[in-house]
Amino acid sequence: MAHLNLQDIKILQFFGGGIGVFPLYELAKNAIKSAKVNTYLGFRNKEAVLLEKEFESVSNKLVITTDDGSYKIHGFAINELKNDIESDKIDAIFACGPLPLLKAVQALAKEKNIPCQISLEERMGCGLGVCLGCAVEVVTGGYEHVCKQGPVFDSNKVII
Amino acid sequence: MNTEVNFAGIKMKNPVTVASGTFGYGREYSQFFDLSRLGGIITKGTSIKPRDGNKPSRICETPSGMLNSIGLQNPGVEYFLQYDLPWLKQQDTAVIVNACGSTIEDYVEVCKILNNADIDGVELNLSCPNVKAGCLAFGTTYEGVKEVTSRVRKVLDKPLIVKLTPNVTDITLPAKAAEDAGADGVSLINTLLGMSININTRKPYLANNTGGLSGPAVRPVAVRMVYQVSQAINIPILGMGGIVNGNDAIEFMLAGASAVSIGAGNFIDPYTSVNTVKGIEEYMIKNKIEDINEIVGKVEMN
Ligand SMILES: Cc1cc2nc3c(=O)[nH]c(=O)nc-3n(C[C@H](O)[C@H](O)[C@H](O)COP(=O)(O)O)c2cc1C
Ligand code: FES
Repeated sequence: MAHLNLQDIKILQFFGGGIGVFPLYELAKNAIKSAKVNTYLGFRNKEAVLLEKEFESVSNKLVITTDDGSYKIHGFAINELKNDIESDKIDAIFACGPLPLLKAVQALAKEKNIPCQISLEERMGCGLGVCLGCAVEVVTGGYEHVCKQGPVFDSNKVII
Repeated sequence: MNTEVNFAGIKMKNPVTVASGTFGYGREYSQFFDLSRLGGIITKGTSIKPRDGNKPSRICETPSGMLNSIGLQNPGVEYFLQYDLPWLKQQDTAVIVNACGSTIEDYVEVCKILNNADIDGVELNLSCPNVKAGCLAFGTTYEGVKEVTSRVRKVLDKPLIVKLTPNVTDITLPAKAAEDAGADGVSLINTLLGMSININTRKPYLANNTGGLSGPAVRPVAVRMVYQVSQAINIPILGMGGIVNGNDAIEFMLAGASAVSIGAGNFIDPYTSVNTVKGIEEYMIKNKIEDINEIVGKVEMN
């Protein structure tokens, strides 16, 4: 939450997949105190669904999708978000999950010009910023490091 | 009990240093322990100009070790001198700068600058497997090592350590070249070239495809090479490759290393280097060794 102040934001969009939903839950718990929270979660199948009840209590709207249609909406959560984004006025998006999901959210946020933060993953050696193993390319040239400057980045800043 | 060593003209309070590229410029680890407990710090490979490094993914875990293809990302020598060296100098430990380059001129230029800096010595990286031009190309032949080392020797009055690559048929040839060109010591081993493939995507884990293997997996190879080099040259050896505790360090010293370096071990536990110092002291007490220098090269071959 480095450069987005929750107090100033009215409607937030949360977007997660797989185990990426855990960090989002903590953020949503805080965000619901002062903002409207819309949450979109995607899972592989019914067995993989996580934290549904918990998110219900911290979201104004909760959309759950499964890749195989075994639970709730059949398909990818990003498509649901695309449908709603036209009608809801979104102030900020937060996403955590697998890379294809983050790429899709990044593209959407850019297209709609909505501030967006994404939580990145990269294999780590030291976790301290010394081995320079967990590099992520940044648009200004060169690299930053997920363990030190991240893991949460402004989605406009990184090339993923 | 004496643990002090004089390695290649560099006075160190114990034989334990941290290996280039695994300790940055020291600041991050100073939040865990007082760096003055180490014999010395070898900095991240530093070049004349800043380098961005390779595309990610840059590392992956392998059995008892890791592969890396960082590609010598570093902020350049001028930045180091301005922002890191003044701080490092206050840590009361020897400061050895690992220098790298793509051409002979790069090595000469960076060492000219380092000759005027307040550092204890230079480790010349002629052996990085992760950059296309340079390094490995110079490091694998007698002639290549001799040429770069001689050129650098002309501009560097400070202790000069040449770091050798294990990716050769006979490690004693580049070692001899370093000695013949006037180096004060050699360090070995750098990483062993390796590759690891993700069977689901059918792509190598590293974006660079290949990378350098280090960690305990390489230790027996490193010990063997340290022994071979110790039989071939008369300048001292800084031994490394998979050291994670005092016993491992002693093993290298028995094989012929006068001092040691901890690399990937720093990633397993940030205290590995200081625990290695403690482990060496415990070994000395247990075996009634008065002076650590006594055990160097004392392996008794079968
Ligand atoms: C992440 C990483 C970065 C490294 N960077 C450098 C470097 O910049 N210059 C260099 O000479 N060696 C570099 N090395 C090699 C180490 O200094 C050392 O020679 C090698 O890893 C073997 O020791 P170890 O098994 O204890 O790690 C690097 C090793 C690792 C794991
Ligand atoms: S894991 Fe080593 S720099 Fe991030």
